[in-house]
Amino acid sequence: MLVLSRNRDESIMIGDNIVVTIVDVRGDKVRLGVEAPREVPVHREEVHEAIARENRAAASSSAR
Amino acid sequence: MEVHTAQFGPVSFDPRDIYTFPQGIYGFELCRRWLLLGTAIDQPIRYLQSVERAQLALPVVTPSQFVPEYRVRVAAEALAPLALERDRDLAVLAVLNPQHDPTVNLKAPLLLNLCSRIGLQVIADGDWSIRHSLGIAPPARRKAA
Repeated sequence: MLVLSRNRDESIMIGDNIVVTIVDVRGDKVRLGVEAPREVPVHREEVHEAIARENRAAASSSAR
Repeated sequence: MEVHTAQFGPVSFDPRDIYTFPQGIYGFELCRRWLLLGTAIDQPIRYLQSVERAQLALPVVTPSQFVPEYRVRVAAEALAPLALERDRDLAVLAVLNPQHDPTVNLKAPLLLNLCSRIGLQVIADGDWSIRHSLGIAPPARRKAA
């Protein structure tokens, strides 16, 4: 994993069209701003995980 | 071609009937090729059967049959992989979790292009529930935490 130190209001670029900016830092909480093309979906990881978990549960309930 | 499924026994199919999910399905990212089984009019539950993993089948329903006001809102650009030419080629399905209190995942519907046979599981905008109980008529409107 690439680890970079950034201060508030600084950004990183992912490719040439995704910008992730540190908007605010308070204690353990970091607020990120993400600018990405609309065709790049941006979601919290927990949402991905919850959907993957639900798909797996549906497949295994059905197999019983 | 034939796939020896765990749930339905041997299933013969025409390779042209395979739906390709270029991004896979959440939780099954490596499974790209699926068949839609069970199209009897009186049977609301159909199955997306993995071609690659014979033991893997996802029960699916047409969500608007259960939640008439259900609409999928996603960025138009997110639909680009579907290569949809006509609206009527689009089918919307939702994964059914057939537990004791059956639920459908309205947050992450499956979109199929019936013509090009391409599929996508998208994350819909709005407060749709991942576990919408079929015992409740209106969609669960939950505030974001």
